[in-house]
Amino acid sequence: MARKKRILLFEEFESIRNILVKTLEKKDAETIIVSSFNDAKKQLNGTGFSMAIIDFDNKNHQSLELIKYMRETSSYIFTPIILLITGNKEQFTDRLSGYNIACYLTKPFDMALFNSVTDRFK
Amino acid sequence: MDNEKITDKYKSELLQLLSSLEKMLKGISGTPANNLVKQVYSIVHKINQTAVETGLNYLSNLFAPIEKKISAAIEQKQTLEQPELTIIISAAATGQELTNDSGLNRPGMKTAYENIKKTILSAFSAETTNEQSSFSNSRFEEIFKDEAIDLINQLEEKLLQLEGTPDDPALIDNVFRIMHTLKGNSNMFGHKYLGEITHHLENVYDGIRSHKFDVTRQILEITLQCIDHFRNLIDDPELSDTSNKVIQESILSDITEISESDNNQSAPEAKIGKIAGGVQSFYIFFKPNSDIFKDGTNPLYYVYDLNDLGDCLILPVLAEALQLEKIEPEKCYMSWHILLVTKETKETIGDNFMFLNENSQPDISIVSKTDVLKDKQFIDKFMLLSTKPVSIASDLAAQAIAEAKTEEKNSVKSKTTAADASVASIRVASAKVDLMMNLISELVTKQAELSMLANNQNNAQLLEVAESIESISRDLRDNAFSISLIPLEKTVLRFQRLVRDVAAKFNKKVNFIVEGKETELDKTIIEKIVDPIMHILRNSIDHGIETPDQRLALGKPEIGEIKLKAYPSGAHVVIEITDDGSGINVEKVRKTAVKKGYIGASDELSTDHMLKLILSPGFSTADNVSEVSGRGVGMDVVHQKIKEIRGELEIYTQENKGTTLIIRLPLTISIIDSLLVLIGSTYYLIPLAVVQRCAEVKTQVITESPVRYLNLDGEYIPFVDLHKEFDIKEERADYQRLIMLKHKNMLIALVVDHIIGNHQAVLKALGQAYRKQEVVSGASILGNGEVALVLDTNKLLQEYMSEREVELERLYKQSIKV
Repeated sequence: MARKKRILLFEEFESIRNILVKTLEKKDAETIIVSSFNDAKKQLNGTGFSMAIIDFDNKNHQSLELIKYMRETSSYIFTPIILLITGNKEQFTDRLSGYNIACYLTKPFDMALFNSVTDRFK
Repeated sequence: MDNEKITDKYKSELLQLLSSLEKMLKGISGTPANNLVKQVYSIVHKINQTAVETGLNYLSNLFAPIEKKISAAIEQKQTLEQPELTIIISAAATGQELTNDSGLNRPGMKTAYENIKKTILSAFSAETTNEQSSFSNSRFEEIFKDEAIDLINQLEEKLLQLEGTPDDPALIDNVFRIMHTLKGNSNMFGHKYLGEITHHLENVYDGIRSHKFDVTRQILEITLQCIDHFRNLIDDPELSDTSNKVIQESILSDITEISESDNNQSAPEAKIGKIAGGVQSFYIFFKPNSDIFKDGTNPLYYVYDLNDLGDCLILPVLAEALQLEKIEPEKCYMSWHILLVTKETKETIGDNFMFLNENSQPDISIVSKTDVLKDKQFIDKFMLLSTKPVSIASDLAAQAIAEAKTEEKNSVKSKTTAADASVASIRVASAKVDLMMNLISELVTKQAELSMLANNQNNAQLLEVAESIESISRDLRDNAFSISLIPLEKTVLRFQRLVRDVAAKFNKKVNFIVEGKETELDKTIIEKIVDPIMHILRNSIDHGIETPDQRLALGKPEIGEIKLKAYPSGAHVVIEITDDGSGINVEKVRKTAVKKGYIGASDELSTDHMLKLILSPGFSTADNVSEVSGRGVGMDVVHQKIKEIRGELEIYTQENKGTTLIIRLPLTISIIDSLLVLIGSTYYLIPLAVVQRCAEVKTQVITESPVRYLNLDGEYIPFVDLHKEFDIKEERADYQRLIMLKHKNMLIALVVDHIIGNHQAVLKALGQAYRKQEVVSGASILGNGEVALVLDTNKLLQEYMSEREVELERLYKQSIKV
């Protein structure tokens, strides 16, 4: 029996969070929801994650800190980060070019697209 | 296809698996048993896994949906039907042909592949496509609605601010961002009409951001109309209500009119679509960043996916001068020259690479408006590209990346402090808070019973436990209170919007100022006070604030002012609403009152009493009935609603200077700290917050005082003898207890028979019999099961003091005669 994939999820809106968790559950993935950078740090320092899904526009702008922290932590240098964004992707790609973002998903995104993205980075 | 990359081992393994699958499925007649479905799943899973591992995207495109479908069937204890088995057989057969021969490059293979892929997607991916809409029917919908309302409120607040500072780019960005989030969330929950309007509005605000439009009154008006409509759409997402449908169409037409006012810039959607007519040939040079593997990306997927868009010729190229001993396995040394013949646009091709970082983006250019794959000469030249050196990233790009990183570091630094100071919060349904408050009320009542029992039993251990429980329940109660208190600012937005809309309707200019919006009140009280405040504000604008011309003629500033000020005051919260309008014409009030028979023509009333007449049902001095006021229904209802929550309303006015309405509200209406007293044999509760101090005097000091004043420590204090006022027949004890209260800056003593002590009172509503009096505001059940009545000391003292004034006046007149 393969070990369940663990996915870190940092998304401000509970409604969107619920959808993503439900979708990831169907892929037999375990989703760990974090509510702040500090919360995420605690989780990251425990068991490993195979992917992180981060909403860039989280309150207090802690997403950037989290991305930076992950890329500075040896065990998460290569972990795919899927960034949920609003607005044009171009606004983010320059700013975040050094952080190896695996994929930018612009809200609203179709769940089929979300599925294909998460499949692609498994 | 890059079949060379597949090792013989994988190739033969895949062929074996595909062949076994085909044979197994062909051997099944009728509906397969569940264990057989599991065997099918096992093979499909292996095929898919191997295809992914070897980068055979065309195979995983076929078998991933099949795997999902079978997995779901097993999970739901379902089986597979014959049509589904036939599709899987075809997939297995096509898969073998693709793997065995030269893949998609073989004539006719691409069409066969596309056909089976389409069949699989339509047959097996229904669940995925339905997934989105199923969320809209789920319990998540309620959470979405709450969050959407929050976003709508935020949007309204920002728009009202934008009206004052229309050139503030940060505010415009904020409005745009909220709209975008609302659009995103609503589309994800199937609220397509909400998504539709936000989408069009977003285009307008994007135009504002890019200086195509200015923030005009028309744009703001339409956006605010949209906000009202959004609130309707939350409850009526499918436009079942015809009026909502009409509004939707009207708003869309208005927005379109604005966005089409400049045709130079077409909407982003207009750029997306297929090229009219035939195909075009594109050259794509895809050289991913050498670190692409670090974020878990497989560049091959992007190359293979181009096959979905049309016919491709793909030339893989290895980096120049690559020495085996210097190869770093984590780096990508590959690049691809691709010729794509397609009906799709350049943007659509670009979308294929949308998940990639900027530095991995391909160069896409149109080569010809014909199919160059048919041009042998061109293809020969193209094939030579594989021998040319691959370019590297320019210094300029490296510098730009470095600058972006520096900017990022600064941004992170400045935002850290604010983030650390943040407090996590959760959303709780108000019904749950109500339930918690009810349970705590029950706990407090039971705790009082326990304390009484412990006292009666005279058991030290039991007393200790009872005291601990009392202390804990008090803390719990205070905490629960703080949870149910919400700041007034939650409702301020509605007031701001109302003032704006009503002022615009009457062509008046009003500056609405709010002070103390952080003042907290029990949520039940807030819910009940909103309508009265809205009514008062409407009246202020309609009857109080003059038109700009009138104001200028009176020497007043052109823009009127309405100030809403909230602040805590002891156990109360005070809300003052002041306008600088024309004030209330007291003489007009008197004449109307006489005309309508509220008072006699010769009655002489103080200004205070006169102003209270406007709180009478049906009373109005307005000459004209407007859309918002003047019908005589309103202030009496306002007064009634304030009284229902044990609040008070005071009115002060000065002609041509303005009017102030003061609403005094209790902080909470469920549990209060009180002083338990005994008058005769009846228990009464006096809110502790109003008690200044307590004292004791000989009974005869009270009974023998002719003017109801007593000298306490050299200070003359008026007293209210509750034993006498309540007409108690029982004998008094030798000593009476005084409870000193402050009333209108005056110290007044309430005289009671006994003081029992502090008590946490859970307030219960009174029955019909008590409705017509105001002195007792509620009741509470004591630990021994007896009922204690809660005294409304404000009402009690008001009533008493006005009687006292009359009596003093009578005594004064008598003394003059003497």
